[in-house]
Amino acid sequence: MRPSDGDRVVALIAARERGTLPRDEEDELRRILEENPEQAAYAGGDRAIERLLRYAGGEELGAEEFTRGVAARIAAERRGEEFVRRVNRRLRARRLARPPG
Amino acid sequence: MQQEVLLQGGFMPTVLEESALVERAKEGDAEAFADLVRLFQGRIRAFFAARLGDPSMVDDLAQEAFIIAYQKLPECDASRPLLPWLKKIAQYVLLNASRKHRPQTLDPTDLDAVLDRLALDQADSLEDGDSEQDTLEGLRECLGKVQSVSLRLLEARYRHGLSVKVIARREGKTPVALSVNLVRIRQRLRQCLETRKFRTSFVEGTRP
Repeated sequence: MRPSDGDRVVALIAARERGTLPRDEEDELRRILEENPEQAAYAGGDRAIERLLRYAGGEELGAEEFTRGVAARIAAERRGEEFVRRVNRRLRARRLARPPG
Repeated sequence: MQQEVLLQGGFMPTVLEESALVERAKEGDAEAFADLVRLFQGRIRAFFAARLGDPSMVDDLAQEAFIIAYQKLPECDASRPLLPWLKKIAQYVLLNASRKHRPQTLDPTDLDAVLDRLALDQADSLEDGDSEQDTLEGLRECLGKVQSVSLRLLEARYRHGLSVKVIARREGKTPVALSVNLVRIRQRLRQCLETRKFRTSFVEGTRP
């Protein structure tokens, strides 16, 4: 009995995860995903869940640290802008002070 | 793993409280803006986490989205919910980042590129629209429902970053069986997230 597209997609995604998906099976997976929207949604959802798991399994910042990080970056940008403004003011002042010609 | 997934929940404001915070932030109240970041950081980080292949970029880009939001606050309509506005900014940041980081030579029919596109389509369907819970909180809830054996496998794979081969050896399984098992566990998590989404929208829809 021929396996359904669903079973085949699970097997091919699993093989890919093991790093043992040969070129012809990669083509087969691509073909199923193009022809079968249900399986395309399945594979896309699997990848999205995998990404969430990878992020959740890592060392992400706590909410407070994250918020402090945003505040620090905004403050740094402001300081940077202020610095650029100060430099521009000085350059303008020097240009104005320079004798014409 | 459950502890790892924990993001601070905090209180959720009513529409009026949210709008008052936006008004105060627009007037230059830095603490009000920090409160908005605390409130929405989970959902904006979940937005990026489901869409980015590199998890180390998630927090950086989510912070960038809030920095742009801060700069654009004068344009923000405080009478409207903030989340859709923040998500538009996040979308813009994501687009910029993928332009910067995607190799120009990548073939669009490459399997990775195909799966990336499909993942982007499906990321929206995993989210609860404008609901109060973010996808990562939902995932944590769903992880609480999986069997301890499955949780152990997920922890080995996503917290410790072990290869399928190594986990299979540890568990006394074949790599084929183990990798199929992982795909099935992820499928169950997805179903759980979707059921939860339906439940949330149903409850919200029936709220008086």
